[in-house]
Amino acid sequence: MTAKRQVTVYTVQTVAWEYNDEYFDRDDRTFDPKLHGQADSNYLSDPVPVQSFLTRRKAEAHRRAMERERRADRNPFQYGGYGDDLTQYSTHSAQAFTERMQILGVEPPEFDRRGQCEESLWNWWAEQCQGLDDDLRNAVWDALDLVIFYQVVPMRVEVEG
Amino acid sequence: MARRKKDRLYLVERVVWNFIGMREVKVVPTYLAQMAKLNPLTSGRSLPVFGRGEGLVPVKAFRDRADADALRDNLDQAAWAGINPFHYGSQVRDWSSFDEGRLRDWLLDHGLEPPAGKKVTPTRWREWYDQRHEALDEFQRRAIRQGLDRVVFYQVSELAE
Repeated sequence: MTAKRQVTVYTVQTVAWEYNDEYFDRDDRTFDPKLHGQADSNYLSDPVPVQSFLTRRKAEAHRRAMERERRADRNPFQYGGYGDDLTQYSTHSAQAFTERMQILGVEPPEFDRRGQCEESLWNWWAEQCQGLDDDLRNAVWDALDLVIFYQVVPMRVEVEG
Repeated sequence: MARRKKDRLYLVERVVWNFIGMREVKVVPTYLAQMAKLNPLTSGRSLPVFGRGEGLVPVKAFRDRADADALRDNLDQAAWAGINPFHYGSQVRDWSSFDEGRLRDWLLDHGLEPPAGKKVTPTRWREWYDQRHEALDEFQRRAIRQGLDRVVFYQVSELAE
């Protein structure tokens, strides 16, 4: 029997965030055809592919565009924690994050020696970032690299012809 | 210069419909027995209602557009066999690119008497389909599918490198 030929497609998938009555908590699942492959079985919060591409480069470009659209006027610090611990939102250290804000010309939040924000990061966003122009606000959000709504996931798909 | 054929694929994708609610019924129509099983909170006397999600799940890729279209048509036809299409969405614009008046005219043109009244509720449309489903001939079934052109379960996307 000949093996079925397959091709890799790069899917842009939604990231699942579940509201826990205080903030949105990230669910690290990706789309699983076994779990979510049945017609009509999806719930709104399930991760799901939204568009597919033949190259990772194109998929990443689309993901970035969708990410910007989804961010809109959301506050990133509602996603991942109580708004006091930067490590729940970013892989950058408090120092690196502060330096990045200074380069962007944005007043950074104040962190203590442990990297905890002394005031709410929710408020810092509302006061310092919400009113920025789109490009600058997105540049700040880009530093919060754990708060994403889409991710690129390769999938193997049978190909014929 | 024309793009080489191997640089593009035609991807059949499953359209994701998310569960959004239930329709209570006194008796589940026989033809909807399978649909009743899709009810994640099954009580035996309710049928699920779905809303179109943003998901497009890769199913199979083809080098040839006609092959992809053929699979899409077959899968879509199979999906339509055991459903009430008015459960896929909650208003005329979810079901059709016609407005309500044009949809009614379309049905009349194909020998189908639409539900009476100026503002017909989603429940009334669903009951109307339940009542007529068994008696529809092939011509009328096709006309309903064409008229409800937004109730689709599969589509083809062209992917290029």
